[in-house]
Amino acid sequence: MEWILALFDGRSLAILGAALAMGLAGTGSAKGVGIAGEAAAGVLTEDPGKFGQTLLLQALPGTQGIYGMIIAFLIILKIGLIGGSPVELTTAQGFQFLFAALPIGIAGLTSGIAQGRASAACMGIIAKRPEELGKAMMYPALVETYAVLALLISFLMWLGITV
Amino acid sequence: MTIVTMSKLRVIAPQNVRRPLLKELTKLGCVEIGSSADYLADQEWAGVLEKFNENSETDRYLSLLTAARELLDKYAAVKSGFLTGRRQITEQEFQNENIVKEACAAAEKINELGRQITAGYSEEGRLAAKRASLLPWQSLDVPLDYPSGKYYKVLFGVSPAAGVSPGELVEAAAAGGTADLRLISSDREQNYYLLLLHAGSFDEVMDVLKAKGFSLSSFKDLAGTAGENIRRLDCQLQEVAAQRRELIDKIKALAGQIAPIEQAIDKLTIENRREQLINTLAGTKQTLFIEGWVPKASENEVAKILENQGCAYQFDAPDKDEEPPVLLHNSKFVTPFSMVTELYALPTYNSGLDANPFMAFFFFIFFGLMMGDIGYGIMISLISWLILKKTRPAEGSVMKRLMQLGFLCGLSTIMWGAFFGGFFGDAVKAVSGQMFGREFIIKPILFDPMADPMTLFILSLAFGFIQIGMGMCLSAYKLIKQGQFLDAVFDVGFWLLILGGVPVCLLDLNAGLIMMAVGALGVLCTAGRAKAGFFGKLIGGLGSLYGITGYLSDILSYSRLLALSLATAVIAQVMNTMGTLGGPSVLGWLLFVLVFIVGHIFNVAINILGTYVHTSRLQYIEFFGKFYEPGGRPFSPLFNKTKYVEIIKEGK
Repeated sequence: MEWILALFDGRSLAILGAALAMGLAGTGSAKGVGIAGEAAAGVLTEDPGKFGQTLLLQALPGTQGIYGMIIAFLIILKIGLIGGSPVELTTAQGFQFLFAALPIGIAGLTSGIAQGRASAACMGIIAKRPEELGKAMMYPALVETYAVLALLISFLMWLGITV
Repeated sequence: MTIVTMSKLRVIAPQNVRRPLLKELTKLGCVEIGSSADYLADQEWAGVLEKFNENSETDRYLSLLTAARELLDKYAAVKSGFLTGRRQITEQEFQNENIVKEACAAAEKINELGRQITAGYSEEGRLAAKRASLLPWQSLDVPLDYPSGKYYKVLFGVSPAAGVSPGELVEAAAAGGTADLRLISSDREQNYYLLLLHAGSFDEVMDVLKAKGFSLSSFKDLAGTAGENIRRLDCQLQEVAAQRRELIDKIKALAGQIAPIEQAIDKLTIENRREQLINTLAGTKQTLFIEGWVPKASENEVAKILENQGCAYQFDAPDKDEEPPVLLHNSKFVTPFSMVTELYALPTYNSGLDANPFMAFFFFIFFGLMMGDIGYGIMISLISWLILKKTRPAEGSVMKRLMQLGFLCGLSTIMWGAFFGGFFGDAVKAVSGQMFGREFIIKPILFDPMADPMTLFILSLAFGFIQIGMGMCLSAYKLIKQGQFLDAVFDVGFWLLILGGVPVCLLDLNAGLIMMAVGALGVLCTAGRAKAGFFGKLIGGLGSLYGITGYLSDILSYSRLLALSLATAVIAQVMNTMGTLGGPSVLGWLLFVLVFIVGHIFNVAINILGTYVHTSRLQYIEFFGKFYEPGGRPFSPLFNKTKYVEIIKEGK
């Protein structure tokens, strides 16, 4: 019985939320950056001079992981896991933190991968028309909008939880 | 601060002045010359005109010089200091023919040395292959050219490693009693043997061995044992390497020639472009026909050159159906931002509307808002300024404008940082609290977005509201300029009423609601005016009214201003929290310095990328989408474009 209580302990749930925010969004970014990197390597075999441009495109899907980290950090900061004294949480508060972490976790996972695919496709633009880098960066950037919005909602939810 | 008015230029020039004429025009740098391909394809003109097809030597010299430059780069690279600009020389120095001659002579020498180095490499490859083929025989002390006698033969052979085992082969050879097969060595592919046999039994023994995969090998022209040969080859290889070192030293001795070579490359590239241009022009035996574009303001300067060269010329206003090239002229503040627009697309000439002056303000504000940190702003501005000062990029080049853009955006970042009270995030608070035990904070001029995000949220949407409203006004301006006054009222005016009602509601609810209702009614009645029938018009109006969701999502899109502003601030906070975990011990301070430097550089780098992309996106999609007509062709005049040297005005 003790483990069930531990599972529904407010603090555990909040930590689970932080873990999901970082883990899911990080996975999305890792996959996205990986997909873009594979395509970038192909471009580079033809022309090593395009390293900088391909790197920029590859870095674009990396932001979801950072957004996930932001929410995870804010949660562990608020529950006093680092930098301060631990805060007592009710189970309801724990669930609130967990749910607040979901937008960036889920949207970070899916948009990271989708953005990676868009970045990979735009590597073709860099290969053939490197002067159009500005346009090539816009397509993946449009995907990121949804990660930004998810970050915003997660943040506002986090802000609203009183401990 | 608009699209520059262009004049169409037509010139008939005497053939004999074509080179000096084009040279002068290139120096002036404000004439774009078009190809005559259209005229040559036209039946009527083709009879009169002829095309030039002159081969010049510049191509050959250019490839000679470029190859020499690459060799110098490879073998005698001069370590240039961090951030150095192009070498500055005067026009007179640049035009000096002797330098080109000197450079070409040096390039010939360098290329010859390069050829010898290449030959050395292939010789080395040949020797190495030979050496590798002898290695398996190294342990054999029998000379490879050991003579066979009347009654016996001394032979060498191999069998594949995957085939019959050496033991079986040795036994099979010994079976007749007239031959002795000895295994010398084995490697992954083959076994190597020495075969001694009675001359009379050669055919018999060979039949047996061949059936088991054995084959003879011969060493043509080799005398002495394998070991002796290998030693000789080693000596030769060393000699080749020594020769190469000598050749490379010779190239290094010519390293000083890189300056004239680069200067000559620049000069010949310009000449080569001129020659190529001449080949696209048409004319007769005595005259040359040139057609192109000139900014109206530069007409006089161009006319002066044309008159000096004895040309007949004419400037015309562009025809209605023509699309002249687009050149933008903006104030000093706006020009760096025009790069952002150019990355999207230039406006069409006939739209007559340059978005830059309007866009620049918002870009400046938004970039700073998203970064929002005094420390980061100083970093961005300082680095941009240093690069500008040190590398002296060419006027109007992408690099120059990018760095100017960086400098301005850095200033905006400092400004917003002061508004929000951010200096490397909450570095002051974290350091004073954790390291000195007394918390100290920078008071924000406006408010702290971390503590009061809703205020920033409303501010973000307000900025969006203003920018979208401005986009709609520009769209109305464009319609009115084209004489479509009613369209401007119906398609933009009513929408402005609807959107304008929102802020009015805050002041006076009733007045706002009436404004919105009037606007909505107007849209409902007029948006479907092009459709046939009452129901068609009504459905058209309803459909258009549904477009309110579009405006709503456009404005909500500006909430990213808040999100990215928070992102920068929180990551900075993460870095500061991690950095101060060690407390005020020596180790703690070490950790702090390390995390602080690495962490904040990382944050700036990743956030410049994100901020730039999202600021641009707001301009491209939310703002330009309302009024912008992309698709203009950039004005590309002839000018002295140099890569390695910078031509400075004399007397400076």
